[in-house]
Amino acid sequence: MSLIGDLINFDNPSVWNDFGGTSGGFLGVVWQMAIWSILVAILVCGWMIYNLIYYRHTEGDPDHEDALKVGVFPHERGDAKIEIAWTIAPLILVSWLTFSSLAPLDYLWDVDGQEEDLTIEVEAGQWYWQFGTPVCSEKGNENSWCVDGLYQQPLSFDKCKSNIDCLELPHGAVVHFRLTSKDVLHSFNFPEIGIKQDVVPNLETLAWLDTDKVEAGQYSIWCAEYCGDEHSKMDADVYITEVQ
Amino acid sequence: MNKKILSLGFLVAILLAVTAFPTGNSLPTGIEDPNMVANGCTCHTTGPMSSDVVINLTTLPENYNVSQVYTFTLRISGGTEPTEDANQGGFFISANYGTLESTDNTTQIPEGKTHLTHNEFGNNFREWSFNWTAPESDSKVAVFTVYGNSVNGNAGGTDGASGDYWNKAEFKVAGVNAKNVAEKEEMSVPQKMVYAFTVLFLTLCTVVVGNRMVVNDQSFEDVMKDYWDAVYPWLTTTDHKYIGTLYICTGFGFFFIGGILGLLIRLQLFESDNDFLTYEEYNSTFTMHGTTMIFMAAMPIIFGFANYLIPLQIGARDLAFPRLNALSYWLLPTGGIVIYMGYFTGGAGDVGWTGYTPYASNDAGLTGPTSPGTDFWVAGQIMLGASSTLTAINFLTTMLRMRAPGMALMRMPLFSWSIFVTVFLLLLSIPVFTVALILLMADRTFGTLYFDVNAGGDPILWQHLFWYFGHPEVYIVILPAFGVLSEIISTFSRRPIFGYTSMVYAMATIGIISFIVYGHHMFTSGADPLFRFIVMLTTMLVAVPTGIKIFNWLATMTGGSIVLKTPMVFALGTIITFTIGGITGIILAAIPVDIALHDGYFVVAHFHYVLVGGTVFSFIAGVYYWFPKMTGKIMNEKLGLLHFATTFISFNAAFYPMHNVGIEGMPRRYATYDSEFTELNEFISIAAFLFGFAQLIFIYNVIYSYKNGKDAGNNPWDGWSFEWATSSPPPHNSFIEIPTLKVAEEEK
Repeated sequence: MSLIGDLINFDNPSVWNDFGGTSGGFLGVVWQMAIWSILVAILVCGWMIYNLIYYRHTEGDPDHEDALKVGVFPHERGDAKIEIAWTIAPLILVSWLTFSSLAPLDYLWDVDGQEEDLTIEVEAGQWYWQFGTPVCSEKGNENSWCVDGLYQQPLSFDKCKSNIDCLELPHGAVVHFRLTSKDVLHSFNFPEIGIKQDVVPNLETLAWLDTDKVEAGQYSIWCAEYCGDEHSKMDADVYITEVQ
Repeated sequence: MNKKILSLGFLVAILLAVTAFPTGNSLPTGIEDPNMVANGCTCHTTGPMSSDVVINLTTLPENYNVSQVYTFTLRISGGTEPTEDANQGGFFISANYGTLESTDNTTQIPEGKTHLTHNEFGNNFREWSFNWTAPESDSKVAVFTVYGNSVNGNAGGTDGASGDYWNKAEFKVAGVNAKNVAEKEEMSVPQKMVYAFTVLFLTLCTVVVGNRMVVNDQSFEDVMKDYWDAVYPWLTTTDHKYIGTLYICTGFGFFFIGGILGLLIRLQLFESDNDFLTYEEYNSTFTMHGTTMIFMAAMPIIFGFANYLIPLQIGARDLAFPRLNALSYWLLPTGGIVIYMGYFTGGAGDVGWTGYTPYASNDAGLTGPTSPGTDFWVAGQIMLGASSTLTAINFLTTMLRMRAPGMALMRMPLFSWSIFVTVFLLLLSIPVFTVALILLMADRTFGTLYFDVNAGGDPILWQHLFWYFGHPEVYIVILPAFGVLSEIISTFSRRPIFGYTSMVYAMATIGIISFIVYGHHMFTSGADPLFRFIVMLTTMLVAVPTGIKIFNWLATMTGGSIVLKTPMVFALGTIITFTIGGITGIILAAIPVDIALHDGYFVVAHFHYVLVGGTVFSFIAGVYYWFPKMTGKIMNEKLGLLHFATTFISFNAAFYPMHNVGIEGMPRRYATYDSEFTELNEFISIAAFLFGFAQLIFIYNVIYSYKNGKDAGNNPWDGWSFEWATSSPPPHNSFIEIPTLKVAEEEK
């Protein structure tokens, strides 16, 4: 039954494992979401099953004293304390979940806080990704692939024949992507890693990736914002390669 | 006299409005094309683009093969007369796929660029040859954008560009396997379906009419007259019960059509790289599926029940404006037909139900423009928007002015309360969408520039306008479902609802919060980060009133005396599926998690759990619950339970695995997918078909019970509200005598 296996074991986006060191593990936002989801679902289903077992109507049961009568607004039924309790409990729960997503959010959004090694201009259009030549920053100069502030593609990089729909990056670099669109909305999305940023015409948006946090290998970029006929084929290959 | 002045005033106002349209067919920065400049060609752009210049790109293959090298010849003519031995012309060509290559000393590729242009020597020609190497994939469409400049040779001086004319042209070559651009001589699949169903329908009509003619020995005219007599009251009615029935039937009819579109989507996704539908057809299919289900199925079903039940529940004879009500209804099938007309214009709307601009506004120069039917999609939706606005006004007036004696606001049945909150949301949100659609229509049809990015339009303005409406819309669809559940659970637990007051406040709170959460649809857009952060907080808050409602339902059952009839079973199933949909909603509200899940199948799973598992299930429960009131017959219990079991199991089998493929990264609106998702997608498709077939049991049950059902009596389930006080079906004026609401506390 590999189908059931598929339902239980699945690959989650790698950035979830540990948002750059913030809130991983069972206290991290992803596990907290999973745990509380299951608990709430068990609570609702369990309570419903309990009701169905203990409060079933059988033929000949006497009517309760506040049973419904047609044309009569029923008795008020309720308990202020209980109702306040289940107003406050969800409030505390969502406050906690919000709190636990703050650190990962800060990690994902704080582009400027991650000093970059390389900056790459990415232009999206119907239906291609065009990557500019990487630009070295001051920090990037410490690496072997930056010589005098200019990016020198390592000799071992041979995966890409053109700069369209293909990009090869050195492992162990913080890369900033400056995203612009030539025509309509697109979305710059690494499905395996869990990074997504819309690409908007007339507006430069930013995404960033720490290639040190992912394994070397082949990754995909899929356009995630509907952009027309060939939306589903607007993909690019990204190779993250170790530089010797 | 007054009327004349008024209409004259309107005319003047409209004329003023027309002149105020920001029309234009050129870019505000002049004729300098920013794309062209960005690509490195800046010469001779001072003159206007001229259609006198003819650009020819010859020796293009019909379809290209992988990595093959082709030699093209570019020729420009017209414009100015060439001068011998002087500069005669220039060009610029870029290809979106493959690589261009210079083969002689007249052309060059500027350093660091991919486009090809003339060099100084090449200036003296009007014809150039060069090579193009096809890309590695033969499923793409290579688009060549060419600018040609016809030069008169008066180079030098400040006036060198005078008398020069330029033009732009585009040429396309498809790969041998790019099916979707191959000439479409065959009909598209949805078109075939429409024709097939039309033929089927006409055949059935012929058989039925023929049968009548033979069996009853009637002439064709007599049979038609009989039918006309039967149909006429439905066409001319202003009775809320008739209009309600029409709404419900139209809604379920469109639910059937939208369901077929959904199954077409699942057929396409049965395997990766499927060619059942072309990409363009697939895009139309999911657009029409979404639009149909939200605007033509869910909302009409809700308004149908509201139409039928609100006057009965609050003790009124009809709605406040019966004729307006009829207008609201008839705008619905009209709008629906207009939207579906798109299929006969070369492809129905393909912009997604969200219709994001600048794609939807079809800015000039898009490589892949929208399909022509999108104009119909916009026009039809404007009609549906008008219909909903009128309905909202009608209900608001009715519920505020026409309640029976004793029916205070805080004594209205919870279904009435849910509709009351809903119509407030409608009134505040639908007009915004309608206005946005009118602007979009102006952009598409009259050449205005509201959403034109090149003219400085805000690229995400549409998203704000759409979701300002779109999120309350979700609550417009789910709140009435809460109302139905409250009625059913209280009735079948044979006790009053637990916490009536907190239920009302919870619904009102959801209504208010719904207007300040819409930005959670834009977590990955370029909107202000502070805005996105705040809506994350408000979105989390929605869980609180929703939680109150779920707990109150469960508490109603505790201490009750639960009768497990079909309506109750469906209501309980709804609680489970809706709870799952609610939980995934909270997961999606957390931005760091949503960034990965946004626009993926997890979102698809979430909103199907809410909209099908919440709205559709509870209104199916509503049909089982109120069918006895509407027809006087009780629906078959065995068929009902069978319907529930098949529906509930196949629904979860179809939509639960979508969470998994979503987490693994499958994006929504994809006509194909990575082969790693194949197994789960096949399972989903099979389950979706079972879900579709399970609904046939429902249709059969409705028809069967309408003919053979047991007599219901006035109050088959022992409910308390006024609709159970009148006869089943209710008399023409709803109540023989308007009842007075009594209160249980004062009874004894």
